[in-house]
Amino acid sequence: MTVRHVAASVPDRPADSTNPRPSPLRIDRVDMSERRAARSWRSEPIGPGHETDLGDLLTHVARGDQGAFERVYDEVSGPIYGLALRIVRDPAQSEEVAQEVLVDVWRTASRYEPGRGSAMSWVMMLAHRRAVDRVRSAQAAADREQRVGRSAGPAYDEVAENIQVRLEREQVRRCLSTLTDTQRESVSLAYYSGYTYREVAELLKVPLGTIKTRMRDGLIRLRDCLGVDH
Amino acid sequence: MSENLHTLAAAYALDGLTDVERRRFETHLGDCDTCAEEVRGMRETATRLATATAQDPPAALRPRVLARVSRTRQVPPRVARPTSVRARRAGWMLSAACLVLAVVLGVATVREQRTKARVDALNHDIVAVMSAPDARTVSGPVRPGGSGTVVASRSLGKAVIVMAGLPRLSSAKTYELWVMGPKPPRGAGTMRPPAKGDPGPVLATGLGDATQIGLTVEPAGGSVRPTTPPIFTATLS
Repeated sequence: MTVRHVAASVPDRPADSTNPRPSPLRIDRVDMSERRAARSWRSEPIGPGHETDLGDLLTHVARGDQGAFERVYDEVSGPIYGLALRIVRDPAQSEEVAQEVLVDVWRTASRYEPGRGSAMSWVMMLAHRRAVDRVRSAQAAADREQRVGRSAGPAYDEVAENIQVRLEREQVRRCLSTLTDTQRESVSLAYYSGYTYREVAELLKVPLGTIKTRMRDGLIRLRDCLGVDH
Repeated sequence: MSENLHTLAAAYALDGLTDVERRRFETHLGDCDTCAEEVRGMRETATRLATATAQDPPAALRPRVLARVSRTRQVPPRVARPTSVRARRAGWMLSAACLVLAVVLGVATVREQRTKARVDALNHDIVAVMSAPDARTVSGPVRPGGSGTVVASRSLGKAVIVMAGLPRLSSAKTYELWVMGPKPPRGAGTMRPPAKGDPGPVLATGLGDATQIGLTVEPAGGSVRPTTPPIFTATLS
């Protein structure tokens, strides 16, 4: 049995994103706000489910609809804060980054182009760039050195807010584990530590071409494992 | 060049490019449908890496963001504009870049002693100057015949100089380029037109506060300081 089969057997994907009933896997003490977040954090960039909604909501936000923005906030604040925390590490700074990104979403909603990718991917791109800017500009090199050792993937020791987020994490972790060590290292250093591919090459003392290939092969393998449409 | 850029798709999707590289790549994306498609899939994949980290932010963040939003002006959408001066200049820059690259490739095939690695390195530097946001192009005639084009980037402190149609010189003489300005002129390289065609481009570095690029005729081997009046100058903006 391949790892991919395991991933595919997790009963949480496409059906769930279009099914409004609570999943039987949902644990009892999940309250409404968590349930809302749980739906939001389901990342189904290709499905006709909530992603379309997020894109539609952004259209309304672009026209100055603050009510629509509140719903966008509920959809994206968790992923934004989580990613900021992952990259920046310091909770106070991560919160600042999250605030900047969320205000950016409001400010630049008109610049979202549906043809170029899902709404979530546009938002996460803003978040990643802000977080990386913060790391690159403000943090001492020594601080970053420390983080490298912990950059293998999402931090699983943190409290999983709900079962679906946990499943999503598990799936990403499983898929990351299908990469070779060198592919995983390159992808993680770039995405979770915020290094450029040139910095990754320097850090690992391998040629630029090798790093580009590792990132490419790793991302393609990850894409296929996660079942991202392409 | 596009093949080179193409290999950066994954690094782009992972947000692992410098700002300059990213701008170049995005320009390339606009012209390459298959790349755009591939990048889209890779970006969605990277998005999964992001959403897998989701965590509830502190509750105090929500009212703070909403308050900030109510005081923040939104940017208007981008609209397709008729070809602007800037776009026209970009078009001209592009053709200048093509010209220079053609010259470089020509040199690569004509002069076997110039190794591929060296040509690649030069190409790389030339493309960097050409694609710099502040690149400016100046062209002008050379007095005894021919013409010169200088593409300079202040931010990089580099300029690419291409001469075309220069008259041949006796073996006792050479053309020499100079970086001129408040400081004494500094040699930027000598050039001799080959038997057929034009000399390869010259990359001048460390422009600093230089104001002009000049060309003089010097004794073979070049001079420490110009010994004749310039036959071509390009004023850097």
